[in-house]
Amino acid sequence: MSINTDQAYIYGLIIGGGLFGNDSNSFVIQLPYKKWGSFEKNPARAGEIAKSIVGCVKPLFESIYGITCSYEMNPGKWFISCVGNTSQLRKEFADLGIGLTTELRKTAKIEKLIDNLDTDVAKNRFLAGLADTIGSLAESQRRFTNKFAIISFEFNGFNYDLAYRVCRLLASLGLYPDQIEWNHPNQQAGQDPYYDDWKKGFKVRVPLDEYAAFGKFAFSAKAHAAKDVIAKQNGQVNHSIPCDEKPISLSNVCVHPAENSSYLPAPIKGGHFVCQKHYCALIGCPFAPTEKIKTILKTAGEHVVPFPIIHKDTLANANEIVSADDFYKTLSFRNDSYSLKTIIDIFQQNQRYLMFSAGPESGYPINYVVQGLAYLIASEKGLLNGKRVSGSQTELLAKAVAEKPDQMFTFKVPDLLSILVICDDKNAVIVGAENPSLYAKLVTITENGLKLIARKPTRGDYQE
Amino acid sequence: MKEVDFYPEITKELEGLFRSNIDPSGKTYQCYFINNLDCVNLKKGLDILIEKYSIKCSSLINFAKDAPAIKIDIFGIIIFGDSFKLLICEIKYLGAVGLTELSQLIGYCIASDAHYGILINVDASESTDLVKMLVLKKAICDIVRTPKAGSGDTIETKLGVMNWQHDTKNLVYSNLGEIRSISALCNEMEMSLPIEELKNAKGK
Repeated sequence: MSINTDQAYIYGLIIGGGLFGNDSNSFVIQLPYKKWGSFEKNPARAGEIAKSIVGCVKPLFESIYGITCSYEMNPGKWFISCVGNTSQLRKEFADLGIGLTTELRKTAKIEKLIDNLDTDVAKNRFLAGLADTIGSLAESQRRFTNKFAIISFEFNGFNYDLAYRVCRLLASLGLYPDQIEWNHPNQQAGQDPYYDDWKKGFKVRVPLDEYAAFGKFAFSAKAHAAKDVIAKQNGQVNHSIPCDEKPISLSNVCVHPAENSSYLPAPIKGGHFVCQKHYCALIGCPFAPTEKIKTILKTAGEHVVPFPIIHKDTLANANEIVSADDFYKTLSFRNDSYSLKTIIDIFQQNQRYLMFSAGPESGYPINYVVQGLAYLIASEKGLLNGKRVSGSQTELLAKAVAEKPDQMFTFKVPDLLSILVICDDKNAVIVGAENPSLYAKLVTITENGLKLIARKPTRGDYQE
Repeated sequence: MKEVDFYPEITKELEGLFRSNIDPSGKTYQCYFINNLDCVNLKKGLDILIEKYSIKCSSLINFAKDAPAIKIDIFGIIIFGDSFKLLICEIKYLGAVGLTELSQLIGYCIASDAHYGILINVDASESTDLVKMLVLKKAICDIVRTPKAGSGDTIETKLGVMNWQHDTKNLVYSNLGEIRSISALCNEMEMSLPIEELKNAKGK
């Protein structure tokens, strides 16, 4: 079937926000506008949203499917409520291999749908439907500064296929994502395996200039927001870079137990990922820099850490972590004491210094040790925002050194290069060691050289 | 802004929508749109399109010879083999369009023998009276007439009313008249083909 332009927009709305229940004669389209569409915060915008639903979406649904629409607004939530005979709509989706059940963006496989968008205009209309539902234009959507505005297509759930297909569709139109964030622990909890709140959804982020030049919105509120955000770029025009030409940003990623989460689909489940493009390559995206990823994986030990890179906690919880872990509880720790000034002096001489080194390129990174001390000091002074230091870490440490240069901290150093526990009498920080030659032994690469499986070490690994 | 300032963006949108919906491959049908800024009147516009795109459709070429020199805001021709359909659009930039504006469109459609006519108001909709009338008297938007007495030939003209949203560059439907949506209109144009041609087109 060839999807016409009206269907394409409606399909975009339904894929982006469709929520289906048992009643075959009604469904809703969720608009996750939250603060952005809040009547209290921006009544003019809320009015525009309501007007677009009544003036644009409603007549479209009526003319194409005979379905009536109205809007509902609860605090933080907008819904388009659709009532009528949905049999034609269900048949069309069934023909595309999509069952209209539950929250569609969490389950829908849209490969066939996209294959049937025959023209750029039809693709444009489908993307407009998605943009009107899940395309975030909040002012926080930017790359570093206001001069680089972003539209972020955001999906909750674990529908990797949907995120991939939308990203691929955008790339096929020359709208290369500036960034794609995957709903995966290596992306959302890359430094801390004890951070459980990693299920933050997918974000496909595209430069807004490029989207605005090709795509559109049907909602006036979105069009106006896009115009306002682009105006803040002060004339700067941003372009996306093709995926295979973009430099790959690499940083160490810790092994997270949720890599085996049952939420994750094959082939993602069980894999460890070193960067955003690694997912694209494994999924098989034709735009992915697959060969570059394969090359990176040849030295995977340099980018995988089987321990927390840094974990901040109470002392009691940190002790619990150590005593509960099969490997950690085999370690014997000695207690050393270091003053704040000593550590800061080492850091200022060499910010890449590795403490307690047991060989080349191995040891505990001084930058994370310093970050840990900042956490302990800020915690004592009540200067934490969550687990982050409120304000400047550098200023906090400078002030602390000036006030109490001889303030001592306990360093629990294990017999094997693994985790360093730094603590005061209330809180603790666990810093993982760098040890690429050992970690290289802990990784296995399968599935065309693209799936990396990483495990935690045993004492035996250290003896080989 | 003035009414004419919207012609280019509406023309571009209509051409894109028709090309996408009728024949994505561009092999079976030809769709061309032109506006008053580029052609002055219907006759000149048809001549321009025929020459520019080397159109061979003899029925259109004959039609163009006798076409009236009336000033139409935007028109489009959709050609299938030796058949064609003419769509004319009357653009308004008013607080609300009413019977006066619809009457103007009807006049242009009859004068030009157009098959379809759409009244498009920019950033506003229809008067309450027009809405009532189009709901209660649907036949106003489906005009069948006999241009030459005794010939037995009839010409049918279907009308619709839509709105143009300048900020989003979208056509918004009113559900008034006989043309409810662009996709439905495109589908109807396909179905109005001789059956064999339609089969061939659908089998593309």
